Amino acid sequence: MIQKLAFEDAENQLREFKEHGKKIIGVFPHSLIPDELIYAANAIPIKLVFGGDDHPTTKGTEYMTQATCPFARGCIGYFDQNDPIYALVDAFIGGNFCNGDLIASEMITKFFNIPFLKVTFPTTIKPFAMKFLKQEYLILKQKLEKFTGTQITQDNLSSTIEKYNKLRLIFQNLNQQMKNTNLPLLGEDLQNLIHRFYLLGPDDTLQFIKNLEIKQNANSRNRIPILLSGSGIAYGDDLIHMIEEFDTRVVINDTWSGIHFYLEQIATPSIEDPMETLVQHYLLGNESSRMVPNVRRIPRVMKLMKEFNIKGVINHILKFCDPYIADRNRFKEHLLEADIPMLELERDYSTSLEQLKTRLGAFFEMIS
Amino acid sequence: MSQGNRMVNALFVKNYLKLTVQFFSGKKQLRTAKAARRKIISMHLPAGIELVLAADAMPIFLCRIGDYSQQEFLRAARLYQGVFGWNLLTSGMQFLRPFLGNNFFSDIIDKFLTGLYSTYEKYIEIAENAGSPLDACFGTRILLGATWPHLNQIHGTLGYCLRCGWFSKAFEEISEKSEVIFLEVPNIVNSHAEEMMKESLNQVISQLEKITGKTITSEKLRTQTLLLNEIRSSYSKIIELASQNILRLSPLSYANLLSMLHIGFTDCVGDPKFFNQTLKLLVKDLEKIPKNSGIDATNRPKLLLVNAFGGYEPHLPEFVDTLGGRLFVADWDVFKILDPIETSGDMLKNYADAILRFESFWIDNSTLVDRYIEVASKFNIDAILFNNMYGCKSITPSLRLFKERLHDTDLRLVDIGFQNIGDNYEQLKTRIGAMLELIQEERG
Repeated sequence: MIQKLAFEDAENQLREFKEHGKKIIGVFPHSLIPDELIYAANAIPIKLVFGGDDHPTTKGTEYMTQATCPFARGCIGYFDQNDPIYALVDAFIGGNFCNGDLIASEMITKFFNIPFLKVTFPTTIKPFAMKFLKQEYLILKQKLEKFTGTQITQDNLSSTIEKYNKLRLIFQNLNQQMKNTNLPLLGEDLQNLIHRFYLLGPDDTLQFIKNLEIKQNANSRNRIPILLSGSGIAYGDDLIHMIEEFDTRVVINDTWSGIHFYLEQIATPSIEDPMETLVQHYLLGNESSRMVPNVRRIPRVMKLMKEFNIKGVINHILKFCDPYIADRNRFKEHLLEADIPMLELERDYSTSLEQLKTRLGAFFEMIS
Repeated sequence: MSQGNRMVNALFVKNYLKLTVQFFSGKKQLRTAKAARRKIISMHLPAGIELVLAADAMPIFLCRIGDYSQQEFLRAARLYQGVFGWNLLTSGMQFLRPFLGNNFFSDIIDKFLTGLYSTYEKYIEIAENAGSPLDACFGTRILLGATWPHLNQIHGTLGYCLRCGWFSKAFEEISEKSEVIFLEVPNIVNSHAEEMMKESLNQVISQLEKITGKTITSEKLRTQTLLLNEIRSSYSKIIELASQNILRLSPLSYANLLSMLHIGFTDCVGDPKFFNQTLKLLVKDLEKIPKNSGIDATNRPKLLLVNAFGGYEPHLPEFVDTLGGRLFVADWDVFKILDPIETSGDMLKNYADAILRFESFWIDNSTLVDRYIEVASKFNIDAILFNNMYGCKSITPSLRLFKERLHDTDLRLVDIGFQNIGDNYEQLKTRIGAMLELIQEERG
């Protein structure tokens, strides 16, 4: 229903942005870098979401070890093969979100000569960690202002947050509508939309949504509602499509490529301390499993399960994705205790599709 | 010739023997601390030990604790030295040497080393049986595997949140079963990182005070730092002595000493005062080379193992020695953990600066490679033995950067894989052997 953004269209649109003097700033899709700051600096934040293809991942192994997640390796691989979209990136923001991000940031900067704006993230959410991140955001703000030549004022930051919140609300509403079984909207549609937003920024996506019409369809199939949690789904990775081919619907995509972006709105920033608002949202409200301790994932999944009447959970683990591998046993135990059917899908981009299909098929048969 | 045979003389160097006995007496140390109602804090890196000591707790590196098959010797040695002292113990051993023969003593050494390797293997197995991911590096698996059997014996674990997220996650796993005191170290060095470091240290201090019921004053921290600084100085001196061409001990004894110190420094073998005193005297022992009886190691190429702290094949010292080289394990020097910590003025600031300094040398892999090259040059290293540890995604990517930097140096590099003990002995030997042959050929 919502078509996947065509690669060429994304490339053309980004070129157009550049022709209008906008800088393209690449960021990893993980959720600790406030896109709002980038956008408020009159630049386009582009999430480096390409993945799912084994070729760039293999290429990335020339820079990182094989024990790095295929997404991070793939990211370097795309730069290495001079991907037309990644080649448009004017600067790159990275940090220590995970080992993959940390090393990919260093290698991209070193080998592809792209200006690097480093942000260091704390590991905990203690008060000193919040204070630290606020300083890091302030430094990032200054670096962005210098790089783009645009001052990030209180006004444009507030209006940017408002715009992003509007998008969050739209995504929330679309997700809520998926409770309605007569609506043909699928997890794949929402995924396509979020990838579009990650690649082209908020203006294009808001415009696109304006023209979007989702009609009720009484003949719509009654699909099994599924919650997908864990490592994010890259643009180019057809996992959700494959899952939904089994008469299921990924109602909740509990990853960086789904609900993590839009679950919570950012509060209206205070005039005196707008960075504090960003820290509150991005650090305290961080939905990934990266933080120590990781206290949000299980209660969130339990709540969403109930709210969306979920029948089964897929714990998607990209091989060597530290935060989710570390969380694997705890997550499994909690779901088992709650008697929730779960399929653990550990894979990389070379995992055979047939093998995946067999495992998915068996799981859905069990819960249907 | 067995390892023990090549190291037998070291056993008769009193302070080498003392250190060895203390190193392998971890179980006894735990029992003694328990009897004295002393709180025990598990440590896995040498950062933060002064804080643990200032709280009057006993630091322990659990990987060191094991059931050693040579317990009879340990018991006898401890008993004998307890009654007669170390001097009489070593002279007694000297006296018995001609009657018992070298093989008797070399067997003891071999049993020590075999026991240590089996201890490591046992902890790896425990971690795997407990469901720890096989993808994790050796260091993380052994950290978990050594912790699980000792949960009832420790009162807390000093956990680190630093650049390797995987390592932090391992401590999170421990925190679900036992108290973890998290020391968060920012992956950057600047003024707000220092602020964060100080606050993080304050939190560690409060938690340690709560566990031990003792107050950590600035003075106590200064006293412990002064003690540790002395240890750092002796340790640095031993690395330097190991790099000389004329040696008091066999190259293998030195290589195993460096391996033992690499581990033993983490918890000061459970007794920092003893460790300090023994290392000081050991330095004197090692400096004294009786005329014409030094061991000439000039023709043995020096290999620096990078990195070691995530774990490495424990047979490496022996393999390198057998193949005609000398192995150097000097991670704590590379990370400048052996540099003295400032002791005048504000101790909290001094300590925060020291930990940030440690962080600064592995803030990214380019910096780390620079530092490894610097250390290699300091000790006239011939080749780098790159420990390409499976599961390590944080430091091992420095391999590519390393290879690029080699053009600017005379160094050679051999990339060795490592996942579990004993995985690829033959491959290891072949690769290291080929490298050593090449160096020897070049030397003519």
